[in-house]
Amino acid sequence: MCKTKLLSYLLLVIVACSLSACWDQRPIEDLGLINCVGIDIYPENPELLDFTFVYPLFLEERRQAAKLDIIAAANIGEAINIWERRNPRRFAAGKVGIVIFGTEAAQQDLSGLFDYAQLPLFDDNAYVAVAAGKASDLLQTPLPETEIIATHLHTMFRTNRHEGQTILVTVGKLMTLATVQGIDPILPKVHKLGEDRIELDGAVLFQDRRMVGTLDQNELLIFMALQGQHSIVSIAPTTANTGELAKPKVELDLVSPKTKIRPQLQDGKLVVNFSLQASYVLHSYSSVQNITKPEAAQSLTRDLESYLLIEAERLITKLQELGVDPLGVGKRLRASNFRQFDPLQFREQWADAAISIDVKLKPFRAGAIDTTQPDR
Amino acid sequence: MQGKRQKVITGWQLFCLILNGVVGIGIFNLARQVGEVAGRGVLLTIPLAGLLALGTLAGHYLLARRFPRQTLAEYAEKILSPPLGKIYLGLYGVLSLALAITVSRSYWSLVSAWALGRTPQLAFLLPLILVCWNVARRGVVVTARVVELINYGTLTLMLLLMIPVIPVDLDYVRPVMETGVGGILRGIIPSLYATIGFDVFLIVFPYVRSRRPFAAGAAAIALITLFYTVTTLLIIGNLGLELVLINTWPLQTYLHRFALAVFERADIVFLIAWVFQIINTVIVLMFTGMTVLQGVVPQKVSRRWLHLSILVLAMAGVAWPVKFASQVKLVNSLSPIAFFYHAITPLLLWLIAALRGLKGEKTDVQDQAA
Repeated sequence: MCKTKLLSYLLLVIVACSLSACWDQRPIEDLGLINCVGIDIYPENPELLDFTFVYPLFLEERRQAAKLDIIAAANIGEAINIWERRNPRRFAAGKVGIVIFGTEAAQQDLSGLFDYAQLPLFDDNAYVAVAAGKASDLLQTPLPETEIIATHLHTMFRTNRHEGQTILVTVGKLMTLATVQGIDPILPKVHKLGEDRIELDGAVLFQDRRMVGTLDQNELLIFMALQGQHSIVSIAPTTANTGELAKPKVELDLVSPKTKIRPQLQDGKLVVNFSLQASYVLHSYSSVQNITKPEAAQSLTRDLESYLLIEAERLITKLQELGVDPLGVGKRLRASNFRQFDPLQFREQWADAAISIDVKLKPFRAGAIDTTQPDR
Repeated sequence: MQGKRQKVITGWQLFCLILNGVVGIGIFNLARQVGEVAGRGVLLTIPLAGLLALGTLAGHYLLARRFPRQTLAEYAEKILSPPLGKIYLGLYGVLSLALAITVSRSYWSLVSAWALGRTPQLAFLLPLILVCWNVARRGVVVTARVVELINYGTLTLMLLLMIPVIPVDLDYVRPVMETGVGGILRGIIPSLYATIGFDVFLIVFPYVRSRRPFAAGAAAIALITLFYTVTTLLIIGNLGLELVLINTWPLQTYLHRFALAVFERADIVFLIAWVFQIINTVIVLMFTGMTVLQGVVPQKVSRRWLHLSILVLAMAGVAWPVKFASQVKLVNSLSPIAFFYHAITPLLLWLIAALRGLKGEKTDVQDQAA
């Protein structure tokens, strides 16, 4: 009995000593809770990358702010090690919620992040984007609303995605897209608007891990529809009513778009059929046509289909010219007919592929329709 | 001694012992290890390996049924002759302990890399080994009850892991015949390594009072196979095979991607909860090792000394500094040996017993008394 008690006490002491809270606690001000990372090319040596670590700081008047440390290193793991050495009694275990690549760094390669992206330190759910210009410049933008830029960017990404205006790519998803054969990564583009504003606009296209081109905002919205993501497409946004049905002032919300991609090799040539089906909600509509009448509504739907078809064709032609496949045509080909898929030849096949697109829209809902206008 | 043996294990406890003896550290890298060989065919390979494991369990059942009142430690000598039997059992017991140490150390490698980078190895492993040893040395009843108790948590975790909460792209999973029949068949071997541990069936068989012990074992193997297959499907369907192949612990990376507004870092939460499952696995392996070694050492050696020696051995095993790369090599070498020894050799024993016409006693004092 006595021995058992002794053993129990001994065990208790061992467990108590092992608990980190007893002897290893530090106030939050002493911790480097990195919540944002910017990645640029190191100007002195293009072989190295400049990592901008952003972490919150409590100012004397209890106001929150952000501190930036810029470290040149070969990869993120090395940068963290250097940062830890420079900041004794701190460690870089934070919650990285945002990763921003500078344009030059993205054009060079994404490997600087990937080499150590398996570290649990890196939240796989951190959002990734490419900045127009340098990431460190963007992260130093003096925002009037808040001093914590990571929180601002995080909210901006989520709100824009919720509104169907951009894609959300996390570190985890980016790693998958850059690793899996038959699909290329695509990242949202973010840029400074004036001195103190940041805006999401368009996207950046990658070939494997190297940035090769961009999409403007309208192209991105069509891309999202083709990818099966909810998007809000704005067509010919004019300020006045137009009389022609083919060019009405229309903003529509594509609800649950579903795209079937059917690639196959026919006599050595890649033939790809895209079939987009979606319901749409009219957000904004201005035309002399009264769409409460079925014929007018059908006519409008056909016109919208034509518009989307033309835009989708343009987009896919652009992707073919750039030799990138962010829609995952290669992945579909491998999954549906893996004997026809050759990763070494696929890019050439994709560039010369014959494309056919079907668009099928179904009116789902419209807002209040004003039928009192004299034209109607 | 055999006459005093009571049937104290229920069919459910047998199910728990087999399930918890098998499911441990393997789930963290099964998708990678099998995927390296079988490609996307891993989704066919694992069910096939499950069928083979079931066949092996059937062989174990045939052996155990020939000696219904004895454990492996008792009838192995009868089948192989005393000196050879002692060598066989000695190796068997040592391998079980080695597996227990390897499972603990492998889990520590993961925990250390993932969450507790600054915690000393011994602060984690010594208490773990001490707890497992303390349960295992108390015999079959305590072992079965503790394992059963923890098993409810295990089943909950397994069920949660099989829910596809993170989006899966089926294009990442297809085509399953990518590497052909040859690739799928080659993948069976590493898949089978993840089923090591069900040989506890041979150790506890005489204590089981269920009328259908094989059904309990088969149900455990079936659940394990389903669990492995579904989690592998979810992991590859989310990460993509190419990323799985360059990940040390694909399951953790997969869980790392789960996030809700009110719940983040499922990987860390899972890592903490899974410690109990690792404890269960080590308990079962230690119990197997201890029971078998008890049949080897002479009767005059006190059980207490034997148990203490095993504790010292196990503690030395987990305390010995081994680098991660060496640890991986060790596991890779130990897995085929352990699988051959724990899964295949009992089948050979059954064959020899059948050829020699050896059988255990048909009467039992307890049964007669009942």
